[in-house]
Amino acid sequence: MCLAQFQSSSGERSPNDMPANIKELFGTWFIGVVVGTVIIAVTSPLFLRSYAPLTVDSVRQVYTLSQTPRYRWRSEGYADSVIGPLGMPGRSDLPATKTDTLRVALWGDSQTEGVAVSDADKIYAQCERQSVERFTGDEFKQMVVLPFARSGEDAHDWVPQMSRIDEHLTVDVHVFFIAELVDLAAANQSRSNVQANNTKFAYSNYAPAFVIQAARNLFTTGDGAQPRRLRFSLGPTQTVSAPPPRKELTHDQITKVDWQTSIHAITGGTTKPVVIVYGPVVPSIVSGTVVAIDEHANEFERIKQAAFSNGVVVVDVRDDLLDAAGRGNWPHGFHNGQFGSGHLNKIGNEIVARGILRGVKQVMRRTDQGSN
Amino acid sequence: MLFTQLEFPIFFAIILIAAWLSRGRTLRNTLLLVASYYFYAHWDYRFCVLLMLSTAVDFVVAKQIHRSENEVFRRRMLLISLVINLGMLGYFKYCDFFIASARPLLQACGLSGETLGIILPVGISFFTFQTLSYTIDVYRRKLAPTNSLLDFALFVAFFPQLVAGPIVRARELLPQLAAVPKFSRRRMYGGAQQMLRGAAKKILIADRLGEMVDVVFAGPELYSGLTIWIAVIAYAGQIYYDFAGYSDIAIGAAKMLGYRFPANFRHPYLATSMGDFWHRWHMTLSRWLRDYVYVSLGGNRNGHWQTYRNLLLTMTLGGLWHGAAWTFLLWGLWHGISLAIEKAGATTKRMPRLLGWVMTMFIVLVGWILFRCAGDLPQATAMIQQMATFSKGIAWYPPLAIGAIAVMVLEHLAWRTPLRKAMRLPSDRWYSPIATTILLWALVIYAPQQFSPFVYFQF
Repeated sequence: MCLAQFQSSSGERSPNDMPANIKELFGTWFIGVVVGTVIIAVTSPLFLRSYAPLTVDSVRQVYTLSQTPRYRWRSEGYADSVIGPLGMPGRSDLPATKTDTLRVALWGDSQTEGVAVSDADKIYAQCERQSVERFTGDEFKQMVVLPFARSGEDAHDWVPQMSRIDEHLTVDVHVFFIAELVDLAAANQSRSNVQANNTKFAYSNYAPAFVIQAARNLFTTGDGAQPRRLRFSLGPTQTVSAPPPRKELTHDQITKVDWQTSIHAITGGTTKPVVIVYGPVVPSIVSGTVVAIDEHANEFERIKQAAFSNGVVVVDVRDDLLDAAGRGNWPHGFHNGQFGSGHLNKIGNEIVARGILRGVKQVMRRTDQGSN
Repeated sequence: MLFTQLEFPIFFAIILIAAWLSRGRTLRNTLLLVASYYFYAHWDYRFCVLLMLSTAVDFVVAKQIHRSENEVFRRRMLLISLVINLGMLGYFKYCDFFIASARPLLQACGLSGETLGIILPVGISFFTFQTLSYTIDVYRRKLAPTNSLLDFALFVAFFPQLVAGPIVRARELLPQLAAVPKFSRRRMYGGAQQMLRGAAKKILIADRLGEMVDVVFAGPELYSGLTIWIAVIAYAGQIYYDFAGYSDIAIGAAKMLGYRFPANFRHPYLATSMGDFWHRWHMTLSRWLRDYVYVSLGGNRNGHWQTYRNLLLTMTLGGLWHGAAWTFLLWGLWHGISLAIEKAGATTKRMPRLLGWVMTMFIVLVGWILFRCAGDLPQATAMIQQMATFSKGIAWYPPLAIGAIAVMVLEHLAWRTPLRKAMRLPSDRWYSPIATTILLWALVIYAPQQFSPFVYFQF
């Protein structure tokens, strides 16, 4: 039998002698550390996301990403986004108001924000492109979409912003893309105002992303929000489950939401028509199994009823998402993430954009009928 | 405490300084023993009793064996050690497996057949093998027992190798523990570099590969044949870099403390035959199996058929050592059959090296599928079918996993070139500080925010 023979210390060669001169040693290592760090600093944008400061936008009165020509996203998807005025991801400028365009404000969370895909593939850009490609010569105008969606936001954040946007900008329709119904449930909650001229994460103005990432890994745990605690006590340790993320409501809690009030709070925040596009993460792959059923399907039916009675157009893109996955084009996930999980990719954005166009079309038809 | 957890460098730095400051062997070894028990108790203090029991039994038994000339008595003593050590291993590791496997029979006899939910003490497979080797060596009169309980207890519990090897033999470590090691800047630097390399293997390569492996092996039927091929190669890389990374950290830590451990890996995926593979893979386990199982069974002394039988038995037991599941047993049997066929002459030895390498890698990869699908044989066979037919499904090509596979290939190829020396980052080369800095930054940037255990901890 050919089993291993003992080899002393892996046949390893010990490194050569250390430089005898201590000054030379420190000199060599000092230069090495500087050069090594410079190499990391220069190459890190290829593999590390940006950390950008959040500033309070004077119009929206919420924290938004500061304007930058290049906001990198690397871990799930790989894209560089422009962050334009009013914290709009993907738009470098605020288009001037024209009579022959239809201006849509797009609200949502990170699914709608879409920093994981390039600007040309973001939902807002696909809406504008599709409005030209699909509706030319139709009764509809070319759409200009203002992407106001921001990671972590929900109706609780959108409602007050809508009225401010209505005050300062021309918007014809407000569109909400909802991936999690709980985002709508927060519409009627009270909120505290942010301090103007405040900046969050200002350190990202000064510290490079690789330093921030390293510090986050060293000093925080989980999603980067919990400070890391070292444990030197003896085991066994009791496994303490982390507190649920802010958005997570239990199934029971969701069934108790008063959707009428929530939808009413949304429509109360604007005088413009509202469209809700619903596209949860379906199908998803959970522990190796495809889950094609939306666990909140019943709640969505209740929302549809509430929306109908409040004059809100609701578009359901679940079937389109399922069809796409059925054809092998998974709408969620990326090669550097996991298909059937996480954020919308280019295909998913295209489906949602089609849904938005359907919704806007319905709204405009209604408006036309009303004016006739 | 994991080597890649932030607590470990702090713990290790304190112990390293204290060890080199402590005067005299007794003080030094006491300090290291206390540190080793703390290291183990950090996971679960209750199981320190097992360490103590194993230490006490083999210390006493070995002395008795050595003193006696009565062969029957010596055998009885050896049997006591075997029964206690293997009994402990059997209870904690295999009890639930046997109950689950025999459930229909137990239920037919009117018993519930419910498993006991026994917690597997970390490192039990390693430290029991280590103490057994000591007693067997004393029994075979290859080793004189130590008179120092302190040294022996430290040999059993020494923290760098306690939970996942390398399986160090008493005759390698005990003589080193019997003296105070001499401080050497060269060894300190070499040890630190080896620890750094080990951490890089685990965090930068194995964990990246593991992200893909976990997803695909959770539902392989969803993915295309090509994606499964990549995932299986990724698993081969993950398990190698995970365990080799752990071994490097263990060997490096011991080196910094002044002790020398045997190597555990020698680029196994360069093997051109199965025999060659086992010369390169988990070398301290394979030599243990060779010396204490294969040789004890008769080795190749009693003709061809006995040799084949012994190979099959040794490798099957080796498979079962890895885990309590039928697929581990099958994995061992698969390797045993391959080795037996190779031994029989219809082998890769007479083949061109490239063909030998392809065949060896094929056998190894199929083996890894059995290994990873622990307990799920239908899944393993379905995966092999999908790979053979390049079935349709989700075509998922994660760039980080593919990049890590590329690194694995390049690293294996470079090992046969002069780059091999450069990769050890010798202290007198200009590029070593630069490469060390880059590695340290990369480790901190990719440090796991979540608990990311070593694969071999479960064994």
